[in-house]
Amino acid sequence: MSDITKTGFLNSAELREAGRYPSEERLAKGPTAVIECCQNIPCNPCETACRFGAITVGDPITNLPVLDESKCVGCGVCITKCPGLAIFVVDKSKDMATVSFPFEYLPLPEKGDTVKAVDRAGQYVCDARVLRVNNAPANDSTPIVTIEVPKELSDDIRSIRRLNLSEEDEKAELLKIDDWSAVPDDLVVCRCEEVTAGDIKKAIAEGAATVEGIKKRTRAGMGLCQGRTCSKLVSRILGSQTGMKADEIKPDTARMPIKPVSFGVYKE
Amino acid sequence: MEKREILIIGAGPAGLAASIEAARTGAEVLLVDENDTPGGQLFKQIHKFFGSAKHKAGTRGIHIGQQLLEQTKEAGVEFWLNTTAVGVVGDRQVALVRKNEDGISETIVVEAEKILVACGGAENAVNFDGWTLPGVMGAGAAQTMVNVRRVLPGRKILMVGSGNVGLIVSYQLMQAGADVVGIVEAAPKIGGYCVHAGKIRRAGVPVYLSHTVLHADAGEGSEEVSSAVIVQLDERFQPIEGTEKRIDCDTICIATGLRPQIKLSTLLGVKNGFIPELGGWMPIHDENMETNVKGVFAAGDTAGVEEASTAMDEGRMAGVSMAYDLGYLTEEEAAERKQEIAERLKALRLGPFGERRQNAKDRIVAEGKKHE
Amino acid sequence: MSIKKHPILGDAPEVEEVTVTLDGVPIKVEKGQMIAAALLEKGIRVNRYTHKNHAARGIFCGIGQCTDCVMVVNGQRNVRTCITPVEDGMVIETQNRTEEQE
Repeated sequence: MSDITKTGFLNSAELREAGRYPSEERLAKGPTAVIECCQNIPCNPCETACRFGAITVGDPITNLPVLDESKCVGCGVCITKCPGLAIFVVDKSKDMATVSFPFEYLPLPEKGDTVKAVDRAGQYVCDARVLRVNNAPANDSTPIVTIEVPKELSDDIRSIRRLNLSEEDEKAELLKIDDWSAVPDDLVVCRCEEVTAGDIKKAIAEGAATVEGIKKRTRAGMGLCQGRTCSKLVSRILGSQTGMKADEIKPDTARMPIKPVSFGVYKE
Repeated sequence: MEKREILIIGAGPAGLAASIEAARTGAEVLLVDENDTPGGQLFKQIHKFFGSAKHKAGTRGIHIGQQLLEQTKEAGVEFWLNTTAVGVVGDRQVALVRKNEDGISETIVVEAEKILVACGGAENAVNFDGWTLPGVMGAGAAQTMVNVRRVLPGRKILMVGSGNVGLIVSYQLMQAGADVVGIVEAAPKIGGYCVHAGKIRRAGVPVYLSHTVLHADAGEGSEEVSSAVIVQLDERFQPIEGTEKRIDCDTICIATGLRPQIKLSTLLGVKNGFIPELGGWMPIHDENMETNVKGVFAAGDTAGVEEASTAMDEGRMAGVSMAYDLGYLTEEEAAERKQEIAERLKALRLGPFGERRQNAKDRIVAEGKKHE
Repeated sequence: MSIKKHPILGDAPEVEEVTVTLDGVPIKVEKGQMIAAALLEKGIRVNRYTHKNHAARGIFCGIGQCTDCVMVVNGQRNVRTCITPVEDGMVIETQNRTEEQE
């Protein structure tokens, strides 16, 4: 099985292997929910959403949802309730299959449109006709789009290409280039005071051993933002230069005012 | 100097929830926030939340925020917006700079019997050559722009970091009409929930695992970012020469985690513990969210970076504890309410993702108890 | 680029416009919008130049923490424009636009 933490999804074969895909018999009878939730996160709105009691999460709520395919009618209410948008409805009962999926983008396709169906990796699979777009108020702005696709592709098609993308966006490719350069010493670390990595390394070489010490020598963290952006970066350089562990590097000292205020106010 | 029973700094999910719990019991609550609208980062969260019905799961963050605001009104919470906590001047005395409607700022010191620090987290940065160019920003900034200010930060976005923030903000940038040209992740695996990753993969966004940004570049004659060069990393996170690739992008978002904002709590005398899983240095506290300084509480991302849902329940816990300590709840009432909240919090910290946070929380609480 | 239509947030409400000046040039912006966001909407992403390197900077944190977007507003320097709303007649200047200004 592929590692879901590398791909972000399991494909239909992997879902089947894990026992998490409806049976072919059930899919041939009519629309069925396909729940592609594969990690034990604390979440169960799908269970409470199903009026037919077809989805069980149980206790603890980190259990993966289990579908009772005999109870599921394929109504698709669970599609809009799943915060992870990981539920789909597939129907293989007719000559052409249908796939219903959540689609929270604009513009929405319209019934009868021909759209580009894509798989779980967003790759083009085939052209498809839009059968329905359900954006009822109860969906809470999660429209369900239903498209018609060949049966043999219906286990892999899970969305459509967004309609606001141009051809050019689709063709964008990465160029391998020869552009090597080591991280320069003039790399800015403190954005406010423009203190560089080189300045900080120099301060450490001269004996600064705390974020506070580096601040005194270089002014890193003394600017308007009071080290909000750079203090952690400075800690990291200190760690890499000295071998100190993260919990040995104390945060910089808090001083008033902790937020920038104009002088007129502060003098009081 | 003004006096109040309870002062809460930060009107995000934790501060709002705490103020409601405490004010409902009859306690006098002043809630301050430096922004001109309350809600903290909650109104940026336009996605449906995880959890169970008790956590309002399946409801969008913005709608949870609206409900909280209504509840603060019903409970009679006193609000000071445009009010920044700038320091501590004495025992449980916080200096606030408050901007009036006519734009004039004045310093007011508020002394309170109980203080809750709920001022959230700060985004971590990574610095690569070119990270100071306009167009390179925190993922939170991009999220604020699209979901609150309704302005696109750019058209072609490169996201750095594949934790939940990187994944969710990528998705929301596409919902706002931008395109995300890729997600760059230094680790060899996706950091956030795979259901979030699944959404952005279906949208065709590539995830470059074991990669980092080598440098960001401005276009010819421009001062703003127009492309980035990414490079593959070896197991020791060292760049592999010869694997550079150029990506066209007009915006680079950095989503490399958050850490607790501890300056105010530190000035109040609160000790910090180091818990890497929750963002590093954070105020030590007990299960009532009270720190080693009696009467000073911390909740939400300030007390360890987690999620909005945990922040709300931590806030509630602090609110109930403060109200009880002030005598507004009987021991029985408080115990019952605390038990209920503790159970909800526990449920949110289950599973392979949650357990890590639960263990981390247990460690900071153990440290907090040493000081009781 | 303002987001007129949004799948979750719905259509943007019609908002009154006010006029501000940026470096002396009058521009119309949405009332109540934060300065930095109003400028971003017009495609302006440079808010200031740094002191040492005269390098361009823009929005970085967007919530008033990092101070990278500070500009000169009505003559006052170091105003965090991501959390300061526009007002009619506001005079906004790119901070350190010319190096001599320092």
